[in-house]
Amino acid sequence: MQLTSIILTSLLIVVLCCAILFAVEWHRAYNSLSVTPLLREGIGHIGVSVVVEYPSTTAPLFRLLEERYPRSEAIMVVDMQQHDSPFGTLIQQFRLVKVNHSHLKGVRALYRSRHRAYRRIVVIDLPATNRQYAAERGREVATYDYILYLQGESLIAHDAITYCANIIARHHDVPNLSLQSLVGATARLERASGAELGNRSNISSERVLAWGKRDLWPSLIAIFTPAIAVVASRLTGEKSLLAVAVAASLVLSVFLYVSTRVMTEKGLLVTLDTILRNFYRYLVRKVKNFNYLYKGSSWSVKSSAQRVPTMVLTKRDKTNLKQL
Amino acid sequence: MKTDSFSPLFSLVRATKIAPFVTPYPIRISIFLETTNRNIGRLAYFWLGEGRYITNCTMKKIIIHSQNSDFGALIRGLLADIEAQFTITTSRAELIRACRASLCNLVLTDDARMFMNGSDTMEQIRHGNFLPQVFIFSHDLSEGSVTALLEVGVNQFMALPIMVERLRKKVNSIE
Amino acid sequence: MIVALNEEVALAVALPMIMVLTQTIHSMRRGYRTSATARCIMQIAKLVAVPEEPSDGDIRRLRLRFSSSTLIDAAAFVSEHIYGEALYRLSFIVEECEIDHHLLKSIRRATTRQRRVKLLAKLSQLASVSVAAEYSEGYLDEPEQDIRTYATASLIMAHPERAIRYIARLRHNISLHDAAMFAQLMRRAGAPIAYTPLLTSKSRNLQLIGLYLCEHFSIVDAEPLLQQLCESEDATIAQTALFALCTIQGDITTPQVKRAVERLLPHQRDALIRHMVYSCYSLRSCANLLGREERLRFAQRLNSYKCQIVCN
Repeated sequence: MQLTSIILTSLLIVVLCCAILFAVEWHRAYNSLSVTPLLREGIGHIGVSVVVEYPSTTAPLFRLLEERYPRSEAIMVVDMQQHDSPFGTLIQQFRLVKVNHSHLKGVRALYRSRHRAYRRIVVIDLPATNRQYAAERGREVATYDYILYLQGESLIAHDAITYCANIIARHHDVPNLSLQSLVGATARLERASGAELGNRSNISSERVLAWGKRDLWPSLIAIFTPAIAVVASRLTGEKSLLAVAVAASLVLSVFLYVSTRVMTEKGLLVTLDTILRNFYRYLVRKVKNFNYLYKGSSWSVKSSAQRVPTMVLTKRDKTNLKQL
Repeated sequence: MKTDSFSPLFSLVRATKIAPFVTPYPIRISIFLETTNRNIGRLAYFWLGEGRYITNCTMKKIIIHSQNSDFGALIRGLLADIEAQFTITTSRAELIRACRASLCNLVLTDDARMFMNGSDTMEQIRHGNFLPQVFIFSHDLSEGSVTALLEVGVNQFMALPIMVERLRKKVNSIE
Repeated sequence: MIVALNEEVALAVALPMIMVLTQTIHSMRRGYRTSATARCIMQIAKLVAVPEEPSDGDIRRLRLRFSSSTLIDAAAFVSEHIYGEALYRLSFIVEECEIDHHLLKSIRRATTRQRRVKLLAKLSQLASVSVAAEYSEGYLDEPEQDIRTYATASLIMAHPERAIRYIARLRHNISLHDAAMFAQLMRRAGAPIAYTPLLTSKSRNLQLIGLYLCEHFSIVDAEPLLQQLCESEDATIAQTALFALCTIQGDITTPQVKRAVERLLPHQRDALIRHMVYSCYSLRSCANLLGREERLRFAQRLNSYKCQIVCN
């Protein structure tokens, strides 16, 4: 039992160190980005197309229509046969018309609006069986150079597109920009070119670009672990389990700190679960880094050529690693 | 941010309640005082319900709508000594309720997107024979956006930054 | 032992609670500061709206009711959103309440780069109503790029007639975001902007600002200069000039444009195709710039904007 609790404590201390690193990385991105004001007017030709894959409701579309950045559009990839009622009414509401789509394989229909106020809406009717091509079709239809990919259940944060456009304008020279939210649902902003997808400059966003589906399990596990450890120590009499409880509560405190700082629209626990999921991905990345260092083997993703001075990079420069 | 209710009694209830996470409640108290000083009859509205309150007041009624409380406060301050009744709203539902209840003459807002999201907000603001004027403030001067707003029925598009004298002149000229 | 156990249990439970509590207090204070700022904005706007100068009593009340940081935020917000004669009354308020003095003190005391940049951004918002912006000249040679950028922004607002000189003095290459910001500030400050000196300048930063202005305001007269800039050695300038030319629907059949397009990388060519379609060019006008597959993609993309006609 003592050995188990020692192992648990050591694991939790490692997780705590990673959690502190995560919080520090988020804080650095927060400090470097939050100081500069957002420009709300269009910045040159920079625009962002948002591709939402198979939303179950029309909420993401209405959220995107609130976006104040003028050069943005919303591309909904839906299966009209499955979701006729919410999306069928969209066609009438926004006066969408069918346009030519012969070059898009597998697409049943493509809709755009002739009305000036709704010109930012595009709807692609793609059968759900061709789900794997949704992102590709969205990219083929996109008007602008940068595409933000969102899952259907995501709820987009306020001014997310304005924020992305400002980041792009600040790093316009970077050939293949990839922005990933550290603290929100998986939202990937990439250049709309099919080629050179491997050679990317990853930038961590301290802001929430989108909120994911509500999933409280990570939060509940994180909250109840200290309590379970305390109860277990009382029952078994193992004092070292209390160290486990303290370590677990320290980890929870770190994430609660980040969660309460980013909390804008959603409740504390929903924010916590998205951050914990992102932290899990962050841990996996760190383990892969370690594995690379240990084995010294090459990695499939190439390094970025240009270092971004003010942002936090999540990937290391592979040329430096190879020299170690 | 929590939204303000139009009803003054409800505002009083909210203003005395401690609400830690949001709370421009000092502003809500001042709005409450403002509305009760000028429209004591609105207390009656609260009990009679919507649609039953008829105003005999001849002053202009202006609604200032902004989801950013700073902007709403700015416009309210710039029009401070104009002879009019002001209502400040922070949510769209509140704006629609205010328009329906008070038969306002003018709506000043910086929320252009509510006219371009398919929700027919303009039809809800202008109901029946009643057609308040709508002025929009915006940074976005692109031809597409301005034309789209004018097509929807906005009366005046005012670019930011605002010229104070021009704004006051235009508001004073509203009947 | 029981006491020790209890202490550790308390620690395990108390840590998250303390964290939530501190952040709750932090957000309550932020909420209160937000409401205080809104009230301050209303008071300042009331004083600025009337033609007469604010009285001593009004100024005294402002200084007593609101803290200096709230006054700074409110004055910066009001200054950003109004122009004309009201700015003179605002400058009187700023001077009497010593808002610029507090701001300069805060900038000098700022220990972190982020705090200093934030305060310099505030100074640039207040620069049109405050003489304190001249002090930001001392930050033009700072090692940090952001500090230099926002110091330049303050000076542009303070002395719009010298805007071009300040921008040319910048040691680093500005990004498109900074170019857009400077252009907006120059317009706001009423700086005399002529696109020709900007586009023909040797400074890359000034060229970028000129390109932003041409694209933003669709200045069709700038077409010959844009054609020349398409052949610039700087890849960013060349690409931005190409895009600006497409935005103003200029002539893209010239040899300069053809040479510039040949130099583009594949993903840049894709971006240009998208932009040309969006700018309503026909396939015929772009045919000699694009390869066979690119022409097909162009035609398909163009057709996707057209209604589907079904003939029975």
